Amino acid sequence: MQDMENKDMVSAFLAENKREIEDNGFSRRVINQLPETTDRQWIVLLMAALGTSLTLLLGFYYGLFASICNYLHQVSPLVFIGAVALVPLVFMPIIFTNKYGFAKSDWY
Amino acid sequence: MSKTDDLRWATQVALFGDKSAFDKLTCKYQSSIRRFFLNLTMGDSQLSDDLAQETFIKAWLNIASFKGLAGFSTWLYRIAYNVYYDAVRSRKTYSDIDTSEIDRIHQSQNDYSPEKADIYTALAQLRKEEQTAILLFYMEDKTHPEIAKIMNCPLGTVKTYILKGKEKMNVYLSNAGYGK
Repeated sequence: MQDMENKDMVSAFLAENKREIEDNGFSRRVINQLPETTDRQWIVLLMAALGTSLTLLLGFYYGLFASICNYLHQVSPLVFIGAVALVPLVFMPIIFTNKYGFAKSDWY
Repeated sequence: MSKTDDLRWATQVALFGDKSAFDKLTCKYQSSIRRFFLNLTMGDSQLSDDLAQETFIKAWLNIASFKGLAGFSTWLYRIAYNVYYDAVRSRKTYSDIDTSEIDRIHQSQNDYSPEKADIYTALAQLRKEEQTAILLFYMEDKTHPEIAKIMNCPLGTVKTYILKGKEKMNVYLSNAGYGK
């Protein structure tokens, strides 16, 4: 109680009474009580089908694939090598900080 | 476990009805939601567990309404707040018995030491809205804007609830000999 003298009394009192509650099967009971819901997986399948159709339409009908191939033929192989070499430089810091550094929540 | 994990799990639940993803969310938030109810019900562990279970089931059924703009935790507390006030209202409808008397009966039925009972006596000095705001701010570490979203009231009202609740608790704690 001595440290309460210099601290905000209410926050110190409530912090002192804050405790974690053990699960003790609570989560399991909740999961067992969950009613069945309608399967919304069709939305994912519908969007995937729409995306694929759009890509194929743009690729073949409007010649997007041919344009990409033409463009890639004009690019120097050195640019490709450079791009491949850049990938680890971009991703390594992210992977490294994720594994050893800050938590993801610190980024936001 | 970050907010991005919450969003990923919530998306899995919303799209695929994934119970294992919902289990992760339940495990993560069960302690804070049950503690919130335990304090609001003055230590009635049975009632607080029932209310917490109802909260998670409502979250499961209404997960599609979670837009991800507020954090999952804030959205879950909003449901918990509504569940609690629905319970308070139904208790008022069906019974004229003084709720504080019920709280004290439940408190004595549970195995709580006199030291632990102090917090419930202190909280009993406050109005229900003040209790909620004080608990969310000091015990659940919610910010003023988050509490305003949870309680669906203006920011200024939340600040007033916290200020008044804090004043009342300060008086109680001073009289009870804390801080001396």
